[in-house]
Amino acid sequence: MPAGLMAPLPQQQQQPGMMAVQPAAMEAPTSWWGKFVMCLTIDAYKGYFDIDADDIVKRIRGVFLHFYKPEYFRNNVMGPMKTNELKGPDLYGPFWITMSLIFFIGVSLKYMH
Amino acid sequence: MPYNNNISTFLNYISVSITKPFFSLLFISDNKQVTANIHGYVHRNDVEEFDYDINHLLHAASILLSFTFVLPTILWITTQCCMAMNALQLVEWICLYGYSLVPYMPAVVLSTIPFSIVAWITLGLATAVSCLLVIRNVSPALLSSDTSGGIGGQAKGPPIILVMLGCHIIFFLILKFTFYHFTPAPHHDSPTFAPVSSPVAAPVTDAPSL
Repeated sequence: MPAGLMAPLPQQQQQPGMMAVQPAAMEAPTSWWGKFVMCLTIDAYKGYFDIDADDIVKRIRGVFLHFYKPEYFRNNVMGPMKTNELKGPDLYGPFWITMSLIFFIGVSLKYMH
Repeated sequence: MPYNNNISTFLNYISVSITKPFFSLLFISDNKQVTANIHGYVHRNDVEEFDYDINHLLHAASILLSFTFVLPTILWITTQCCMAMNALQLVEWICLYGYSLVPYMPAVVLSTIPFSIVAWITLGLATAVSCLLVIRNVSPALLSSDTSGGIGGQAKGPPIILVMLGCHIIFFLILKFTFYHFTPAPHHDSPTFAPVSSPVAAPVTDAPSL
């Protein structure tokens, strides 16, 4: 019986999460000018930086473990959009990975020459 | 109570008046050390080496930032606007290309081993992993959204995949020949052998016998 009581809980928790995603999609402007103005605001990019260190580690591990599987990284590690389980595509990881690689190249070249 | 208050304010004043000069002096001396270091770094004689490092960093930054942000944007515009394929969002393109740089981190560290073959192998493996990650995740969506491959129309998905493959190979060659091109080994040998083989150094060869 306790298991039966616990069963509906995840569904109830998923509903608010999905509802939280829906209004953002509804608020998105449809006109060309509205989309252009939205691109210039910081709020448009906030969602893409809302990510934890655990997710970054999970994604970096996913690159090495699942790089050869078709669409596995996109659907199972990254997620095509933000849900309760997966955070969706982010910009925090790409930005800092690029910056780290620039730093690595600079340091390694300094050691080499 | 007012007496206590006065004492506390007096003590507070004393502590502040004592500690403030102390910390001010400490800060000034610290600051002097830091500025002296910066002054020494900026006004050193080997400006060429500093320029060389900065140039390498700026070069690496321009190449990597354009690979992570500009190339996916161009590909997204090509698929979205020119080919009318609604396969992936721009953020997904940038995210995939950004995470595809992860295999290059160990490769770059290992490429410091001064053998050309090591750089070829590590950078090649990193390029293979990175290319597989991007193409394996993008190609199914591209091919499924490609509706023009039927009657008469030319398929648009495969050319985009070939372009992505070509961009990865070009990126690999740029990394290899711009940053990890190991010509210093013969260069290091040449200055030691040059004076011996040059005619100017010929009289000097008699010097060891003296």
